[in-house]
Amino acid sequence: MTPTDWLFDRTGFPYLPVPAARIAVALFPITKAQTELWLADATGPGDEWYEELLRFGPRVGWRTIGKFVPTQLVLTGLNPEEAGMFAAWLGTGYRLPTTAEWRAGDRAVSKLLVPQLLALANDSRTHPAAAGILKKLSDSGRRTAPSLGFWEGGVLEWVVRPTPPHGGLGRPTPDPAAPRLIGDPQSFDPVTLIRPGRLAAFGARLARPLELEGEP
Amino acid sequence: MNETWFQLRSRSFPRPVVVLDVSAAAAALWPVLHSTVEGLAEELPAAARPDVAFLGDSVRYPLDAFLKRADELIAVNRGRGRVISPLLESFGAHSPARVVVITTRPVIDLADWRSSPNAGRIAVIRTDPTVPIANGLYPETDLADVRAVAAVVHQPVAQIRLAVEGGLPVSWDIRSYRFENGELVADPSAGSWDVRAGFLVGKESATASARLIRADKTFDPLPVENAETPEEPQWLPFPPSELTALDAWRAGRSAHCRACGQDHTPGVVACSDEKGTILPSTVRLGTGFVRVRVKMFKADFASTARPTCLLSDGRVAVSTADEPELWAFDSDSNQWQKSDEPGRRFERLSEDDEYAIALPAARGAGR
Repeated sequence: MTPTDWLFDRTGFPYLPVPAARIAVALFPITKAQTELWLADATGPGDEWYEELLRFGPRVGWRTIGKFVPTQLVLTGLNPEEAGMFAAWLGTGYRLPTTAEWRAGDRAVSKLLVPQLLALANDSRTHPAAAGILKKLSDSGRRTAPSLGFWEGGVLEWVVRPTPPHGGLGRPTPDPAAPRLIGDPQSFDPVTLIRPGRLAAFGARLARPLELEGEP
Repeated sequence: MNETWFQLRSRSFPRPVVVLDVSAAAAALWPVLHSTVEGLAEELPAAARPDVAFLGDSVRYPLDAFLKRADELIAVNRGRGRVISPLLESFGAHSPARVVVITTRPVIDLADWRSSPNAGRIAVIRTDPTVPIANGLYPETDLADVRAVAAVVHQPVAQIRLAVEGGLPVSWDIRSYRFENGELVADPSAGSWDVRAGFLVGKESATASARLIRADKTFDPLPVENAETPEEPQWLPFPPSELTALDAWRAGRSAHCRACGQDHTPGVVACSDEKGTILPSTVRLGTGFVRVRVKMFKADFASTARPTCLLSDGRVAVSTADEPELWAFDSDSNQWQKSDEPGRRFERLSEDDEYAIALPAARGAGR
């Protein structure tokens, strides 16, 4: 096993380089922990915006002990424009991935071994929240790299496509109360919305170039 | 039983922090928050003044520095969301005694910290009495007046405690400490909290723990390290005039006192009028137990008194204001336990005529 050359955004959350697609994809979809770092900034989106989103997807803190719903760690209910605002706060170059980029990231993560992800917890560049989420998911029984990054058992994630301009890809946790057929994101088209609006099933995962200006 | 010595060194702690809500919802409250902080500067002495921080931020400003730059700071921090993790994460291993959040609406991540070591340090002051903030997880009060805020912020030190699991303090070098329920305790009035102390322990190795306890019962650990056992005290001779009393006590009889003209039962050193003593040589030793060795026509005493005395049966006598207490080690529980039986003021320690005399006083001290 070779060590993974992770990249990090300003919040200390990790990105996996995918050289074949000339991008790096976030290990996690945008989490509530990251969003709260944005919220803490004086230029952030404000508490009222966040409170509105929490009505679509209740929050669980990564520090809290006991049973939890894993997807409550993920920010849901946001629209692609809001994901873009968060990406802009992270810095130049951060953005939603295209369908092809998302799929390339999905394939790359599926080749990782769990210890390669868990090693992030000991990387000084990793924010304690990212390390805490990995540990919390691992402790809850998730045993594959994709499931530790919400590529499996996550939410639908906004991707950029030609028309309509955004759709959702992912392998969400099946909801017994509202069964729905979502195909393999490697081959099925992204899920698109008939009407725009907030949906609890949608989150967002960001991508960035392999190299950013000013980054060592 | 081993006598193991430890050194406690006090350390300074970060100042308490008052955390202000500067979110959009609290924008109209800034004048109230500002005047509250100003009031704290007037209400609290300089040594008790807190730092000031903003929800969402990790930077702490000394109160006086904050007030000088308040307008500038609010201008660049206004709009931060109501999250506290950036601040609490910044503490690392050195948390302030108190983190007092003054907020108008619930803090998003405050409940996340309820199981953390910082939980007992957090208190909430709500600006709107109709909006619950802490949901019972932390103490919560209303922003009634500055004095109420100051009372929450300032938690003075109540006690320093030094203990060893399975150990009993038998000697220490600072008079401000006292023996209390098998631990060493100092009150905040003590000039220095640094102390070197010996504990009688049943095991070969023992670990000491020290805590600084505040008025609200929160506490912080203090560093304790092993210390060298002090040298044995010197032995000094009693003058011949005091040997008569010692001989009488060894025989179980009362001794006639030249100072007060009364008889002193064994171990009663002070005269009943508390002005004189039957053993003037021991006056400068202060309080505690003095060891005495008696030979033919001469007797010596140890040059320092100890607050405790190890008896020949393995029990420990502890000097108190009244009769000495007796403590015995219970090997089943690995704990020292106080005996109901009172100790004596004159105890034979060994067959070769070594004795301990409890000197009169309220508290034990000295090695």
